[in-house]
Amino acid sequence: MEARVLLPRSSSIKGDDWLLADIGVEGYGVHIPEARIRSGEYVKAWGSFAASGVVEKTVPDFDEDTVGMGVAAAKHALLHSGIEPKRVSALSFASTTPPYIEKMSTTSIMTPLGFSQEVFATEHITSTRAGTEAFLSALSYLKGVGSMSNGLVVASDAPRAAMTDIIEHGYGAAAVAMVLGSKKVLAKIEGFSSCAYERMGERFKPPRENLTKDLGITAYNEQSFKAVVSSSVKTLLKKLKVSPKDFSYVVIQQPDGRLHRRVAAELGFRDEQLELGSLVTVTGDTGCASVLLGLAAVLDAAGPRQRILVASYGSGAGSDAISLVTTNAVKDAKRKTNTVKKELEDKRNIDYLTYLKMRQAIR
Amino acid sequence: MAFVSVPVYGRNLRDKYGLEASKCTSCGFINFPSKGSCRRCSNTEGFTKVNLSGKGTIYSYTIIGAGSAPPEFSAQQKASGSYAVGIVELDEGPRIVAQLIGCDPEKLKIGLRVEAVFRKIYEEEGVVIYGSKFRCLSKKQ
Repeated sequence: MEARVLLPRSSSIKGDDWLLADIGVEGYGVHIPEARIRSGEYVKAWGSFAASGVVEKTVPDFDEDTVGMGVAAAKHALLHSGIEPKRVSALSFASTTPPYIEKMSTTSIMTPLGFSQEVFATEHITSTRAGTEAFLSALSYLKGVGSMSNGLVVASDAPRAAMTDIIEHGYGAAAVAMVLGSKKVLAKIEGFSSCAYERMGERFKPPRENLTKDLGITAYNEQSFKAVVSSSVKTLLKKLKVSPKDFSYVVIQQPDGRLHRRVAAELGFRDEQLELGSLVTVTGDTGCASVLLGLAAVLDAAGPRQRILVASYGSGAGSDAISLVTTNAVKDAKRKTNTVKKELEDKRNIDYLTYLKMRQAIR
Repeated sequence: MAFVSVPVYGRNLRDKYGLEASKCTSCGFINFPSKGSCRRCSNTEGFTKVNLSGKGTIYSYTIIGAGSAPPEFSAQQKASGSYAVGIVELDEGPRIVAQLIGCDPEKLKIGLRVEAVFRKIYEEEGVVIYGSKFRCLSKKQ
């Protein structure tokens, strides 16, 4: 049996998550669909656009599902990290819109990537919190078995609701993948905290339905978002003995362009800390890919020894807050292709009728 | 009764999903999709698996419009009006029939550089079939 080696306590790591000390992000990649629809197209079609702060959003093409988008992002992530696909021992896939509700999707993802069959595959599909859930699942596995192999986290989402429902207006699509490991770490995971408590009526899908519903009690939803996100973030700050000013960048779940800013302000973060990771204005609500996509945008620009906060939110309700600290390696690992900025610039605009056909709302 | 062939799906999985080919150890020919005997020298033993790069050029193409799409592609044809299908000659030699995406059909040309992307090909009986489509490289790397 392999002896369990305990990692030394590092002076830069605070709190009780010191066992994580050497695990972090080794590489990442994104896939942002090319098609975009602007809010004005909704105004022409419906007379109004309900997603505040969203100027345009990404649209998945007819053949661009969450598995395909996830594979595209994962290929970029593996290339960026430089690891052999066979080194991946944990694959965690997150999506509120997987191709199947029952049947693994991870198998469709690992086959084109050339993974070994000896993989611990997990799927996280029940809320927009799924992205960080998958991240922490892969991390926990690596920590449990010893950290010499790699984990791959894929968050890929294209939320759907009835076209007649105003919650649909903001729904976009994107995928992000992150390679976790302990060798060439760009950003160490310093610690995390979670919060979960019972809420209902917000963003749910009953069995036998593939469209998201919402009872539309906006004030109640906002209250839930603020309470749960604040709780996970405050617990983490306390645990790490840090304050909002210790973070260079903050990425919070973005169901629209406004909610994450409000909760950030209440927690004592400044707008400058939010800027890089706030993508909702040009992507729309990317569901469970939201915060990890923001993290990718931050890592594209971050320098060494900077602290990053990531906080997700999912209806029901729950939130995970994760703190990462960049290493010196982040400097030399800057990506030239596939940056979030480039992927966002590469686009073609479509009209509302094309949107309906692409999303298969009329057929 | 099922119309989707599970055995065929399983057999072609590594070819279709991962662009995996068999290189003949006798004559060096790259067989794709993999077969029991080499297409060039008929050798039946000794193949090594090679992963194709997915990069290639358009060898020929056509546009599928209304009325000419096979049933599994009719939904796509209805949504997009038409779609392009091509024969792509991969850099390693094999030629593949696949859909061409990300280029305006008017601007398609024989000899254009393309790269494989993993996409949903079609859905049948609720089962999603994935595989490679080829995207013109001029636009997006």
